[in-house]
Amino acid sequence: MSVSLQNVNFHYPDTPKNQVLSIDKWEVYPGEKLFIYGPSGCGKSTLLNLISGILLPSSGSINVLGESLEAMTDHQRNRFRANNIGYIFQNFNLIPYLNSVENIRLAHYFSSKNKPSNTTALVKKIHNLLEALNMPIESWHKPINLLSIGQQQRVAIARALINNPKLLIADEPTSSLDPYNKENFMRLLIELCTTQKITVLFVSHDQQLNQYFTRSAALPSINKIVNKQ
Amino acid sequence: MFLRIATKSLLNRKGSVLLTLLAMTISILVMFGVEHIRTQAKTSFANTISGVDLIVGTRTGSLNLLLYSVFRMGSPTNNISWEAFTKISTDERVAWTIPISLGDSHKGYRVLGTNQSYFTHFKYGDQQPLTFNNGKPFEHIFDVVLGADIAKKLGYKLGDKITLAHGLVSTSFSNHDDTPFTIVGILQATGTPVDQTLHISLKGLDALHVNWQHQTAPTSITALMVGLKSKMSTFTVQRNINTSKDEPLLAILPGVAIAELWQTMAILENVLRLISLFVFISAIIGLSAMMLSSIRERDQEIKLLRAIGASSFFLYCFIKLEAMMITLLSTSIAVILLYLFLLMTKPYLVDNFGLALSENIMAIINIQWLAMIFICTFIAAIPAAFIAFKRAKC
Repeated sequence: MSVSLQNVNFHYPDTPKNQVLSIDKWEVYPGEKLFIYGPSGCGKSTLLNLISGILLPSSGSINVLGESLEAMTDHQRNRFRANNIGYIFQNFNLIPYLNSVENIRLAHYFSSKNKPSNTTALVKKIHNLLEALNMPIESWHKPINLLSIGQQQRVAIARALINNPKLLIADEPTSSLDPYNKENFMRLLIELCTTQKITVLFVSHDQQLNQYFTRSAALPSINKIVNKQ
Repeated sequence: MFLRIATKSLLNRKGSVLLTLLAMTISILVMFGVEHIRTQAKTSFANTISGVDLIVGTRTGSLNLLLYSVFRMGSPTNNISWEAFTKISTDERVAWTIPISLGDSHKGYRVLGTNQSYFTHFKYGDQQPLTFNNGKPFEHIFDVVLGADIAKKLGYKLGDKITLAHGLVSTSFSNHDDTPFTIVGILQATGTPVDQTLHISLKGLDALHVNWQHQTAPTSITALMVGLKSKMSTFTVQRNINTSKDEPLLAILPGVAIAELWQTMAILENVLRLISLFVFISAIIGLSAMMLSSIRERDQEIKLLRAIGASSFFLYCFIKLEAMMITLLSTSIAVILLYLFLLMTKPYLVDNFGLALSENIMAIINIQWLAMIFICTFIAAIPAAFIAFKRAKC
């Protein structure tokens, strides 16, 4: 299994009565491209934060890529995330004061695996990724705020893929894109993940995106808390 | 990488960072400046006289004796007899003596009666002897040697004739018009009260008071400076003089008396240090506030860094590093500015105030100071860094 959740419950530590998430059993298969849809406020971001190990469940166990997140120390979880999980947000995917290449290098800085033997090799790898994402060469060293939103989201793909992750988590990455850029973004993302055999976990409220994925699931049908409401 | 993103992050917030940098630089500049001037003033104070083992005058307070004999301030309560001077001079433990007689003035500057040994034995600073800018020591009864300041301020040159007045005021009714003095020498600037003194022979000084045609040996002097053959005998000689039955005399060690005098200024010294400390604390609080408000704007940045694998500890260190970089830069700029400032004002200060400030500021910038500055920065960055740490946790 790529991801497997068993009897997971979650509430924020300071509000124990306000249960956010409750999942009995839920699994994501290796190499699958899973689309999760659901209205906002149904615990999408919380679920993704649990899977990436930023949050820990109040009870239950989460297994990612065959490893138990609860068994790891804080430090191990950070390292595990940097090494194995690519993450794309709706916006603010890039540090605004760094350029594209620096942003990608920063993501590489936190990972411990796939360290190219020298900087030239890393820069070559970054350049290949940016080329594959159709990023014009003159934009590579421009400040992030001079790039269009479409370009920024494509750099975000490169940033998420630089460490050759086995799992890619995307949290509404297309919601600020126009239809043309959305199409472009989805095509590139799916293409790269297919060639690199990356499991994709994609969350959105936009059901039209369903067509790009191998399986889809509605979060309200997984999360018992939402079902009760 | 770590350093690079911290630098870029600071550059990204140029406005607030620049203002904080400015406040920090000014405060560190003030702090170092005050400390430098304080140590320099202390040194220059202690440098007023050196190589003199004892100063002997009539029985009075030791500070009083020091003030009128070395700093030419105030008036002697009484004179000591010529016999006492001869007796001390001929003591076998004594190497040399310099007689000093005060009392007259020229346009507000003190006139000092002494003899040739003043120019050979008097030392200031780091055992530096007096040197002549122009001319030579006095030889005749109406020769006068000027301190550097007087020659400069009053525009005197060698060979000029001046008259000396009785008393201290510059416009005295009893100008000794019949006794004109000739300038035979002008001393190099020393940064000590010597620069404001007119030196004449003891006979010349007597000639101002009695009808000079009746030349006699001087009957009394104000004080004398004593150099001993061996420093070991300092305390014995001092005690012998202090317990002398012939005449009430007081012998003081100039170094000890100067230290005592400096003690009286300790309050001023501490007030200055306190003020510069407060300036620094306010700048540090400014830094803390700037860091704290920046954290509130950087929620998403923290979230993103966490998602790509940054640990909470990394974020904590990242914020700390930013604060440290501001402080490091401020300290460097402050040191350079202070150095340039001292270098530029040096000629002006020496010319106008006789204040010789060294531009060597490295002497005061020691490990303790730097440690204090950086520990304060570390503490000031704790709130911001802690918030970043906590945000990263959930």
